[in-house]
Amino acid sequence: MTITDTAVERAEAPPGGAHRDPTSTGGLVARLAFLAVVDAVALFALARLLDDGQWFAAAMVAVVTITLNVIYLIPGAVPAKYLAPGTVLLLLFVAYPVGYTVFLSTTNFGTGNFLSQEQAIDQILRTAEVGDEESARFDLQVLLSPEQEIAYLLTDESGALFLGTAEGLTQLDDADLTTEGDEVVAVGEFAVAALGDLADIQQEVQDFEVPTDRGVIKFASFTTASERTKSIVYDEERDVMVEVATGVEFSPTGGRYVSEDGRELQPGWRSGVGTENYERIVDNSAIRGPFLRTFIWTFAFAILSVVLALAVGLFLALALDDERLKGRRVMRSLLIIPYAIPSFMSALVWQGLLNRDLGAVNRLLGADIGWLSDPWLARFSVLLVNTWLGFPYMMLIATGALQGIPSSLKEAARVDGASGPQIFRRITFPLLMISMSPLLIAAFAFNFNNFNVIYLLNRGGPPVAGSETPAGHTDILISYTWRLAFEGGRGQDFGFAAAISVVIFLLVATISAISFKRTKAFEELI
Amino acid sequence: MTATAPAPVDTTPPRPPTRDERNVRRRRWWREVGWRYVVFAIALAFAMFPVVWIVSASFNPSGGLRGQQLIPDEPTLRHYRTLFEDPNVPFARWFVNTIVIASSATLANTFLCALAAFSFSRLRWTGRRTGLLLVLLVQMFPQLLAMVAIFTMMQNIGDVFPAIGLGTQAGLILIYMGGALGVNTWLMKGFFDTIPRSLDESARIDGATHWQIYSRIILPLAAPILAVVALLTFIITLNDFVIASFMLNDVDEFTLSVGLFRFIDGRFGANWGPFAAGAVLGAIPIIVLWLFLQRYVISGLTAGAEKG
Amino acid sequence: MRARWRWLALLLALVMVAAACGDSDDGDDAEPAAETTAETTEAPAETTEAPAETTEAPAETTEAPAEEEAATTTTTEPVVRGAGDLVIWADDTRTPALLPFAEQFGEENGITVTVQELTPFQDIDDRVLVAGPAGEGPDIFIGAHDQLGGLVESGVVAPIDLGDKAGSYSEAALGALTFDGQLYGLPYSVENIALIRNVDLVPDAPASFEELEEVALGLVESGEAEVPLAIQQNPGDPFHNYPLFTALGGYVFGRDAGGNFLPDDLGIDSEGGLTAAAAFSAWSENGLINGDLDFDGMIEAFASGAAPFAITGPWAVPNFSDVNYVVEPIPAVQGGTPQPFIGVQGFVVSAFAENPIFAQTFVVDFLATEEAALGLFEADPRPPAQLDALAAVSDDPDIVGFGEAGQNGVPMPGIPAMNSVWQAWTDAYQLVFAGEDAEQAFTDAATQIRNLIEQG
Repeated sequence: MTITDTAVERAEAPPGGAHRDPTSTGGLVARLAFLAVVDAVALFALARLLDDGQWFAAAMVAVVTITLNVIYLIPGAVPAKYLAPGTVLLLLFVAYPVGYTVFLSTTNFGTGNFLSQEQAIDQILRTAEVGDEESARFDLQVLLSPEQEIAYLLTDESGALFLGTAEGLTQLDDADLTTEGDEVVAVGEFAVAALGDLADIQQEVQDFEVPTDRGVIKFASFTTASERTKSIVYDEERDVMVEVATGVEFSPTGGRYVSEDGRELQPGWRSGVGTENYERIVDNSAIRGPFLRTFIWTFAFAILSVVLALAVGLFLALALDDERLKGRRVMRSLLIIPYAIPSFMSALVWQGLLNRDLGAVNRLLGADIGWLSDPWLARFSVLLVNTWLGFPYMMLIATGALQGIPSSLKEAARVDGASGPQIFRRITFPLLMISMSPLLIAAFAFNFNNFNVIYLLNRGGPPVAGSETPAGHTDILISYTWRLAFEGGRGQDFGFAAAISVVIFLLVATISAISFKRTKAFEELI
Repeated sequence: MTATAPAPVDTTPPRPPTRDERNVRRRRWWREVGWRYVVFAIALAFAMFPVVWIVSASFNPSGGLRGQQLIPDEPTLRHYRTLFEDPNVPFARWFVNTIVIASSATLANTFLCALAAFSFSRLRWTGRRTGLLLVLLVQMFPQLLAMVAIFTMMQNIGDVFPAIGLGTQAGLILIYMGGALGVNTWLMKGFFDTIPRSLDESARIDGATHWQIYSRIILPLAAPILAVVALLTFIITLNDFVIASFMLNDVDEFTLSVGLFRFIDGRFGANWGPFAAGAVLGAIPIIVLWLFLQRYVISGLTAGAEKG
Repeated sequence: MRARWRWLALLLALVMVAAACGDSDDGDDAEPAAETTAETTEAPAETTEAPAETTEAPAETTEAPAEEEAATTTTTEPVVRGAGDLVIWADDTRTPALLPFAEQFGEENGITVTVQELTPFQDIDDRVLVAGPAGEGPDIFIGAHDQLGGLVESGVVAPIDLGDKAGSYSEAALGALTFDGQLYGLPYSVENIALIRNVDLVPDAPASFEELEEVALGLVESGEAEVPLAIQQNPGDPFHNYPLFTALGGYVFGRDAGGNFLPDDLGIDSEGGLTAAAAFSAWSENGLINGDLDFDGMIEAFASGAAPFAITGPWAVPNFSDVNYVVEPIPAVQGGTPQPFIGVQGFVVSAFAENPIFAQTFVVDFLATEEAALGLFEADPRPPAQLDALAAVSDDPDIVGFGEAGQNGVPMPGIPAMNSVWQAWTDAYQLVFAGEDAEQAFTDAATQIRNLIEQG
């Protein structure tokens, strides 16, 4: 049986009072009010976005708004009416970021390539302005005309005064100056500016140049200016950088200006690199090296984390699920405390507790055990801590799911003479698994990428002796590969990290999707 | 599978028990109930082991976390005073902020989640299985780089609507609402599935609309799962650090986790004292909420289950 | 400890990558014009304050508006640029030192100067890297020279011109902040680690490291001390081990005639490096060095008088006020001179400063003076890079001790290849402390580092 055409049914329903049938009048009003708000907001946003020339964002807003209007105005489309709000948010805050990461994975974004090309050009030219011993230095006073035109009053080392304008230097004598006491206050129509006067024209002052024979005089600080020569100039027409001294040209190649003989100018800029980051994953011998070991441990860690947390959580849920137990509500509340404390704190606390010399665990046991330094013990410790972190969640879920199992089934089995363990194995557990298996798969996926607990507890350690690149015995795929992306000779390589994220996601999503299709939960989904 | 013989364990004779019987009863009590207390005690020890150290650190004058005595030599309330008296640490504000943000996100998420779960459980439409699968898979994407995109987006949104852009609590709640569809949708859908369809059928024959079926029949019966989902969402939002830390930039707008993080984020030597004190106080709302919500979970679930 | 929060900082930095990318969508046309005034778009709540008003130090007045401002002055906010005509990013220890100067500069010029506290120190660079190009970065930040190379390569910092004032800074400090002939910051402090000795336990400075070893182990044996040498490891700390490593002939990267580091010449598995590795193995075995001691443990051990010696830097010294100590160079190890890493910190102007004129003026005219250097020193005693200020504080025994220890020091390499070194090297020490073969561990580490550099 399905709910098919409820709009028709609604239309046929007797027009009752609002309190009896909220959808006919109150519901309609609510829907229209909701749409009115959505549309008003969307129109406002559209106007702003179009004004800023953000076409893509504007198109997205338009599409979403129209879709929402259609969904809530036309009859039918009932599932969409229920799904739309959550879905819009999901697309915005979950799906879009995924797409963005995929985009990032096709770029060279990272150390040396953070800027846009225009920003990179500016920076290349700015750092190519150099001073040397022969460069003249001046004491500076910044002048402003009533039209906010900039000029410099410059005093060289001999005390000679000059007026510096965009045309060049002009020597001044005292007659040109307007003074108050010892202070120069103006030169002709140009008044001496205070620092605060420059607040709104800082970029202009920064770019202001007084040409000289050797180069240009530029602002160094509010009281000093210095002569700089330009070692590189930019040919905008041809988009090449030219080294003044040698005439060598640098043309844009892969996000950098590169000369024929392979010299590169810094910095580079962000640009697309196609599938290069993915190729690097495939070609990278470092990733292939400890990959298998890491891969196996990642699986073991993710699966064992779920199994152990489930075992503890489920056992506790069962143990506390008895009406004769006094204070069980308080008991359940106390046991979720591990889940109620921020995990980044508890992981660090555990790290301290497991410290070989000073840790409470060894002190309590009176032992000298390397909980975090022995490879197998470290794996054990990571699992222990993750079980501690995860069992309250499993307990919560299991407590809920347990209540959903009809007690009549259990009664019937008991009447048939089944023992407690038998009832659990034959009835309770299979039924629990139907409702819990999707959550278990999700928990598996979460732990597959559980960078935080691995990193905070032991930073993936202890180290694997003799591996090709640094790797730890408790490193999981994401912690190991990210290390490559951020500790390689290139500095921080976000593009590469993004490609790694995408690959790992495909891996874990595939595994999860396959597991889902095999669970009973999915079979029952008709 | 039909039951015929009466269960022998269930009959309790009304006459006063003999000593033997008392022993038998006590043994049975241990077998059926008593061990549960033992299990709880062990579990509590495991659960509280690190927590005890956190609590201890909150009373420890040195504010360190290493090599400390379990019971500090000179316990102090200094760290708690820091939280409430230091003008640079508006702990009470953070507490209120956290409760406001977490409650809003919890209410909104539970509502949205229940809407979607109804659609997945009660309505039949093409792409339903795929949709359900996708909702879960997309949440599996490694989060770290995704944050980058969220930041950009909030920056752009803030240009148009400053009220929900970067630095606003409203924007933060909005981001949390992005997680409304996910694992919890499955959880809720699974529960909705156990509510007998015969209930909606008869309601529809009486002329109820889908909204009425949803709001008058399904939701009241689903109270237990709503409570569980609400609690889970509340905990997750309360403990979120990453998103909150880039969204909020005014001390007075901070949530607990962002504000408290300042204490341990020093260059050398973390100041664990106030952090521990704050974490201890911060856990209390969660415990209280769960204490309160259990009423709906346990009784409600049992009631709903009988009909399955 | 250093790396403990790195992942989180990294994450926050990542978040700001976004900003950098977001910038490309908007187009650069609209933004700068709107942003050069106060940050009306970013902090709407703050726009009500009068722009010419100087920001107050926290807890100075009780009236409501001042409190609002106090919040902005020392905000620990990880990402977004604060409001102000001049915005400075500094870490928790330097922020209080800088505040009075920021305030004074603001008052003199009628502008708002905001010092934003970002911690930990070493993550400020990462954040500038991505926040700067996005228009969310500071005008000025405090940076470390070894991280500056990456920032220069990425083009997010601006050269400054000290002019004649360059003469009052040590050449080593200026050199550490100079890349391709341009100076990228005003040197602030020059730091290195040294030996700290508990005078009550060990009245006389040991003449050699061998003597130190004997004395330290002897004290532990006799029960007068618990920790022979407090040097932070957990799991292994190449930075703090470097003086001992170099004393025995090891080095990290070789240098050419011009003093530039050569990424191809890795010295971790050089003959001297392997000798040093073997020595660490021996020290770990005889208990002199404890691989499980972390920063907190090190502090605790020395501050409580349980350790006769510590090897650490000026940042740890304020914890030792209850101990009668001296700071001195680490004695020669088997006749070799220990060479600690030298770290130079400086005030760096962002290439994307919204207020470049204010920023350069504040750094070059205002901070590059003996007076400012002394003031910063008094608020937070780090060995000043300004030579007059250094001379003025030469009666401070700690400064003298650290200074002497630093005379043999080498600048920490600021080349990107250094990124690839830390983890592998830390792992190697950890393996040595765990009893693995020292030579093998260091040879493997060197191979790993070469692989990483090559993969990059």
